[in-house]
Amino acid sequence: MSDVIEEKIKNYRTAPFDARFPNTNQTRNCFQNYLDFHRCNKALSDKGQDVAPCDWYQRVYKSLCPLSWVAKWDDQIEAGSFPGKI
Amino acid sequence: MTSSVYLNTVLYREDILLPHVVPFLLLVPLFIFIGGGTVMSGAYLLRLAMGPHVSWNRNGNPEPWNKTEPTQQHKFYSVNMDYSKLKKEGPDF
Repeated sequence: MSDVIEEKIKNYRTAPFDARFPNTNQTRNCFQNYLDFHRCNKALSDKGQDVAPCDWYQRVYKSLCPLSWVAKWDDQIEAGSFPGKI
Repeated sequence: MTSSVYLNTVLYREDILLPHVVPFLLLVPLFIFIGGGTVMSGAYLLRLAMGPHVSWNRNGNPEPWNKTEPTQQHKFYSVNMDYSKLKKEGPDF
């Protein structure tokens, strides 16, 4: 399973089509992948597993999200005021 | 003296019979547009309530858009799209 994901991460070009967000407005796609990355990190590190598969979500949100949003959310996470549920 | 009808002061012409319901009849287009607007906004609310667009219940059903299949089509009409895709990451939660 994880080598499939490693393969996908290695061959990554851009964020693939996501049927949950088919329209032009990709805001929710960006936010969902950001949340999924942090949730994945938290879940896998709680279980003691390697967090490398979570890099897929990071690649996707870095492709989709404006840098200012990512910077703002990172600051909020450090300050503990991030509004999403992680 | 023209045959225009004012809503509050109806001019009575002697040569025609003017029914008292004419002011109401003249307001019917207004009711049509207001009713149409109400119907359309209600229909949009229904669409939001039944589809995976909005999270209505934060504790019970957060993020309903995550509960749909990766192969489900959400658009009404999509051009040149093959919807037999696979989910893009390992389940880890």
